[in-house]
Amino acid sequence: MEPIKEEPMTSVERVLTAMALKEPDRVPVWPLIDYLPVKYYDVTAQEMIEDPDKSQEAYEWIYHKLGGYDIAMAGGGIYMMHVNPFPDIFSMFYLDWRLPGRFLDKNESPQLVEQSLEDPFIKVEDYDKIIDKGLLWLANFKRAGMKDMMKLGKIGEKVAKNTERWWTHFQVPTFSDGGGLTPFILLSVFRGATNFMKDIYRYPDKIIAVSDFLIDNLILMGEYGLLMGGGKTIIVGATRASADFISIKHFEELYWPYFKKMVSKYVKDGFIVQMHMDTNWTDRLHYFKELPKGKIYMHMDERTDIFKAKEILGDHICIQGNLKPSLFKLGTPAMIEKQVKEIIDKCADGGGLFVGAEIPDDAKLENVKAMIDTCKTYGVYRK
Amino acid sequence: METKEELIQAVVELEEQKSYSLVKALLDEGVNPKEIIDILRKGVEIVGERFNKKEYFLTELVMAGEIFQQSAKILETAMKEETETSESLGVVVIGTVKGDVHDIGKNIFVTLLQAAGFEVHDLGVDIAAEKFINKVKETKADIVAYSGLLTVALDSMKETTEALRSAGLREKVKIIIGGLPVDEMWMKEVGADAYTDNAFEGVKTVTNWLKEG
Repeated sequence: MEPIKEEPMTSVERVLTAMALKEPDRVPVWPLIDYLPVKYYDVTAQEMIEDPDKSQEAYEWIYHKLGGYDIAMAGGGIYMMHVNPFPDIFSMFYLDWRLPGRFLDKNESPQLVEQSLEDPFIKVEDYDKIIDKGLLWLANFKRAGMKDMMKLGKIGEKVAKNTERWWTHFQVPTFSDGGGLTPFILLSVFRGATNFMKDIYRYPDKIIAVSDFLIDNLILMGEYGLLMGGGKTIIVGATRASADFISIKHFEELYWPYFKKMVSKYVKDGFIVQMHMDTNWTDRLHYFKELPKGKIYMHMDERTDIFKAKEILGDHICIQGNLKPSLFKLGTPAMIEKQVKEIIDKCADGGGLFVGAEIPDDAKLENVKAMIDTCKTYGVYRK
Repeated sequence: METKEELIQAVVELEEQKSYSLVKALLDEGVNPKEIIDILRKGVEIVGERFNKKEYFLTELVMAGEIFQQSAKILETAMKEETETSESLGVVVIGTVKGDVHDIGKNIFVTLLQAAGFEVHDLGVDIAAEKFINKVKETKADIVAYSGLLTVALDSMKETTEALRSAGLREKVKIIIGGLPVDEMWMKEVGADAYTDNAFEGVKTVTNWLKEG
């Protein structure tokens, strides 16, 4: 398919300008699309994961169907995440991931089943074992299907090609090429959220000791995964450390120092960092001022007050938020246009803004298009 | 401070071991286990208030629920010796609906419902309409609670309400939906009576329903 060229800047230029806290030609728009093509195009969710050619084709189709947007995902990228042979929260070899074609119908989207209270992936006594032996003892290579492992290298090559195609042919950046995991999130997923919340009260010193031990390796693991797929952009996320989950005291002790170290290192190493911060961060936004200025983008959903975020972080970090995913299923184009205009009115000044949201896999296309079109018309910066 | 006051305080400050010691001490003093349960409830109630004021977070709700549950276990043996059975506030059937497996919030809601004195039947995750119907029939439930995070849950919640209607059960139960994204739009779409993204408030809502009778 051909690139869409009708605006003064390319998407790559637009996105990088906004991230550098300067005004591009218009506000960049990013619908975070995962499996939306499954509903509208001849592709299954299973193919979206396992077939990099087919998923690239589907992503290009929806990009054109929606008239073009500013950030894409490379076809095949999701596969690499799920067949990671090392103990990782996305790896289907370790946790109860329900994937299309494996425990799910081929058209259902993947979901992670939370670890059970009684028999989680790691036990309390394993905190000490991790400090003693690292994470690799958790790896069971018999568990990793040989067929998948053989495919990994081949698919990696294709993902790198697809990534390159977005950047140079379409001149659209790909985001989420790789991902970094903080110890806090890793342990919460391995223990199960409820068990981990009890651990926070019962064994805080152990959590800190394991986190100190793991952080440098987890930072490297993120970079390694990224380079395998030939990417430039890295996602770090943290739903479980927000104000919907933990206190400021626990955030300061158990989460922030490690997150800050990870993000700062990725920026220093020249990667484009996207912070994916779902749920409510409003009461802890000021911490993000400690991160490098003008280098990072921060996604928030409707639970964080984006106007407060603009006030606190506007001269420091490029932000996106305030659009509720379910609105793209239940709402109307007029409702979305109204909300997008309000975000642009209050947050676009001086750059540092993307408009976007996570798009549910059953969203209405006209709603997604309304967000994109409003940015292309109403979101133009007038010089 | 009186031991009873001390126990409330220990629960509120989430001092786990101290709470258990005090529960045992009260039992030794000969305090009726039911009264001890009420004291624990009072503590959980104050934790919930702090949660609403954003002084406490989900972690604290989980811990308060844990302290309540573990204390109830200590009291169980003593309770069994009591001749009269304690009456439940009402019967709740709950589950994360079909197509969705998220259950962090649901599990906390279940614990708080139990702490408040409800008989709770937790069906688990990815629950089809039919399973809700069967359980409602079997338990003569007063309240049905759907949990969900993804938009796919919206369709399943709607189907479950329709199935309740077809089975002639809709008028016999009240429906509450819960999850971080649920809002008035979700509630109307699903045909529920209430929605909440706050487990503690959700318990208040269903308690009020039963009080209104």
